Amino acid sequence: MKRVLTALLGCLLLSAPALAGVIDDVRVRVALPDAQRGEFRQEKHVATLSKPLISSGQFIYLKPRGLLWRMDRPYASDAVITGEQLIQQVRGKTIARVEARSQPGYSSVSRIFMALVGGDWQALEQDFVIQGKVSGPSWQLELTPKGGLFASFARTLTLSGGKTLEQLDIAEKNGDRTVYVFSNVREAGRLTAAEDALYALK
Amino acid sequence: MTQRERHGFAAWLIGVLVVAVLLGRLLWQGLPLQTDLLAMLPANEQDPLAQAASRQLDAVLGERSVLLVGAGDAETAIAAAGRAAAELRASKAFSDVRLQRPQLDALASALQFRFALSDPDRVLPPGPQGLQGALDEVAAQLYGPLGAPRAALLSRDPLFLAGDLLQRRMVPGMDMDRGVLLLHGEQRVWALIEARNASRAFVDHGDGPAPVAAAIARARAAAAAPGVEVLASSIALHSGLASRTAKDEISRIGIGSWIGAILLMWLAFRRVSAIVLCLLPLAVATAVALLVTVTLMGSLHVLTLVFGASLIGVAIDYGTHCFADSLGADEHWSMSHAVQQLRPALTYGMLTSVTGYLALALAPFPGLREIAVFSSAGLLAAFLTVVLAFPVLLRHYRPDTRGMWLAAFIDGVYRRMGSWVSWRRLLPLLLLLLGGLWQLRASDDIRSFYARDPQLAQQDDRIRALFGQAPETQFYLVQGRSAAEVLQREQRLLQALQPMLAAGQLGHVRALSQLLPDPASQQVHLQRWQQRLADPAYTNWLRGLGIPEEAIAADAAALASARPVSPSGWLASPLGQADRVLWLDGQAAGKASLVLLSGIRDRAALADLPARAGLSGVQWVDRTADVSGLMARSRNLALALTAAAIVVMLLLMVPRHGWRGATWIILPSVFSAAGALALFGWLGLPLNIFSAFALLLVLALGVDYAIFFRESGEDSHQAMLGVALDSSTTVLSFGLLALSSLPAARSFGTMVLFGIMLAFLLAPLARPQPGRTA
Repeated sequence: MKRVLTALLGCLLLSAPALAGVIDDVRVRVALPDAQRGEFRQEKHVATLSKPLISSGQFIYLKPRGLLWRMDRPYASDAVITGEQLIQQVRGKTIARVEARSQPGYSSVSRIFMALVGGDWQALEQDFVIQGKVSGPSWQLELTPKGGLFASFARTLTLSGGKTLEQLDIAEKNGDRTVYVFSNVREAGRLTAAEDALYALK
Repeated sequence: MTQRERHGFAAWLIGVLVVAVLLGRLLWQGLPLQTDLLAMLPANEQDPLAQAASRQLDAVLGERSVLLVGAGDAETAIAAAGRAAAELRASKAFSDVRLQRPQLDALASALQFRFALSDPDRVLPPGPQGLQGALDEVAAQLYGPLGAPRAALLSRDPLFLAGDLLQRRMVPGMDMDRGVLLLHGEQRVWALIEARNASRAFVDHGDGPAPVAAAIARARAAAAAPGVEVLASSIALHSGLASRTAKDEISRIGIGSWIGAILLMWLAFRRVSAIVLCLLPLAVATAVALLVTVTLMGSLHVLTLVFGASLIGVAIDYGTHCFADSLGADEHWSMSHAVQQLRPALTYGMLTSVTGYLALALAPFPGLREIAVFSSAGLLAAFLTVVLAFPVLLRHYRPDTRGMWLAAFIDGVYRRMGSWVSWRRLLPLLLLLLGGLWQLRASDDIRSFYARDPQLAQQDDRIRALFGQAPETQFYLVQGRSAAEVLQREQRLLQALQPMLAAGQLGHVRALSQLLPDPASQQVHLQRWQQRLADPAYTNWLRGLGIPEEAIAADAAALASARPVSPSGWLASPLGQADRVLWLDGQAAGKASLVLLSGIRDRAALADLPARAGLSGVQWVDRTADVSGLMARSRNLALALTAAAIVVMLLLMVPRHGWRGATWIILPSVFSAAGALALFGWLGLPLNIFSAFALLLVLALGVDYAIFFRESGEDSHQAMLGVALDSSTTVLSFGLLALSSLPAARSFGTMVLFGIMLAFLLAPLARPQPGRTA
């Protein structure tokens, strides 16, 4: 009975006007989606490990250029994520590289990631069923993947925030979870020379 | 009817009955029909191993059908591919249909092989920070944006060695979604279905290629949805079509020549019994030829059927000569007498024709040998039918001489021609002949002998483009005394290819040792792992990540028990089974492997790489070039055999006709052959193996005609009618062959058409003339 009710509720929530309403409600609450910087904390809860894998650092998101993910702890490592490629460096040495050209799955994942950080809901609606609620200045959205690579490992993505995205919680199918907490998010402003150099990595 | 005739007839009747029974059984079982043009070609004489490698590649490619189901998004593509795959499975045309790939099995073997197959210095590069520094880099990836799969495997494979192996197994440009391989291109996502055909592509037992084509058609229908497109590529589709075309053509050519022959004979003989009995040798010849060929060769090639069906048209000649003889008959004429009188001419004609065909059989060319067997057996059967059965079956035959006008007409034509022919008039013709021969050129490209269906070819090309890395027909063959040596030599080859890959002269290489190094290197890997991971820094690192103690112990135990992976172990594993096409096992002299290439830009540089880089045991195999070279050699062989056949036929004639007579018998055929070649030259048609072997037939038949003229003496009405009928039926059948859509058959047919027309025109030159002493 409960399952039927949930399904029914799901159907109601799915109906188009309600959906458009929630997304519009969230959109009016969020500012600075196109150029932002801030701090992140990432917690990976893996069932087989005795403690979560926790890392933290700074991020910069620029709509046309992509995402800089600068981890400070527990290891210093910089990653630049664009539509075409992902490059991760440790002490200036590239330790990982993915190119959309040779790994076509990459671009769909990076596109979604960028849309999540940039709050591009319209793009996300192609790949996810979006449900949500707002209360006062804060909002919460639950994204269920419709298909594609995300659907193969993620059950739901939960986003919450106010003026900015504050938390992203990815529940994986195998029971693992990854939680991103974003804080001190502000206008990106001018880039330092080091940041500029990272964006220019080829 | 003499005692001898009765016995002969009885023997013939028994033979025919036996043939009928055996042939009936064969047809009941289904005629094993070959459609692979390469099966007609000789084995590459020099190297049986290269041959085996090519065969293995062909077998894998020949048995494989590939379907790409494309849609705007992966979801739709995978769903449509699922429907298509279900339809393929239900069809029973395939022994294996693969859409979803079992990833868990592959992961299990990757975990098992992870230490032996991973190079410690690549995963943990030695650097100023030592092991700790390298481990930190591994951890940075774990925490980084690409960490998800690493985290998932962390307690089973902390260094992500198995994950790395699986990633290297993936073909660049493809990715996987829910176990389905996806390709991206033409603004679409394509789901890949691979299916192994239940029967070999090239052998058509009546149930061969057709079900593959039918199943693919049903799969297309099942996958159909808005925005979904299905591309299919299978040699079975090509050979199915080729086989169907060939069968259609055989019946068309067959019916055409039967109608033509019947019409001609009606004009000449005006008796239904005569027509029926003229066709009797043909029917017996076809039956015997089919039976003998399948018995000796194991199968029947469609080209043999196309050529042979026309060659047997010659079998009708023996009968027509007998009936032609009846036209000049008086009341004492009897078939028995006619056969007796014609027997020398018939025997010599048969002998020269069979000589021609047996010359074909001398060529190291399975296809031509098959045609030779088919035609020789058929001709012999036709000859025996005429000699043994006609006198008895036709003992009450009374000729109808209304057809004499035809003989008279042809005679008139010949006479007018004879009076026109003079050396002065022939001289310009001779110049024309030389001019044509001068312009004659050859083309031996194997690809020009295939008729490719444009629609199928277009799909093949699109699939090739989407794959990006479809292997080419050229490859390296690596040999060694042991598996270890083969893998070592392969690794040396891969190293030597590196600069060419970097320079873009070569797109991609696929070799077994890319994932499976030789056992000694694997042993070194294991030793290095044991040394480096014995460092407490490693265990501390594992603990620091929160990996439970049991998992740490299991990791150490896995390393302690790890052993090098053998090629057989690798190929049997879910991870390595895709490499089976690359390994040649069970060779008498050691082991061998194939290194497949794609995106070849500089063929010459690749061809001489083994010599340039001093790579022992590495051989460049270029089948297209090899086959074309073989075609050229065989073409020259055909020309040499034609020349040899001229000499042999001449020697056969000498005892009966003397040197001069023999020369006059051979000369018209030689001129016919040269004339046909000259026509090819003037028309810009290339000489190839098929047209070259057609010359042999021209020679054999031309000599046949000439013999009848020679034997019939000065009063050659009947011979002329016989030859006219013969050459007309031959021209009819080969004329139709020249219209064939199979380039090989067309080339053969055109040469015979030209040659036989000339032979018919020139044959009367062999007549002993009053002004010319024989």
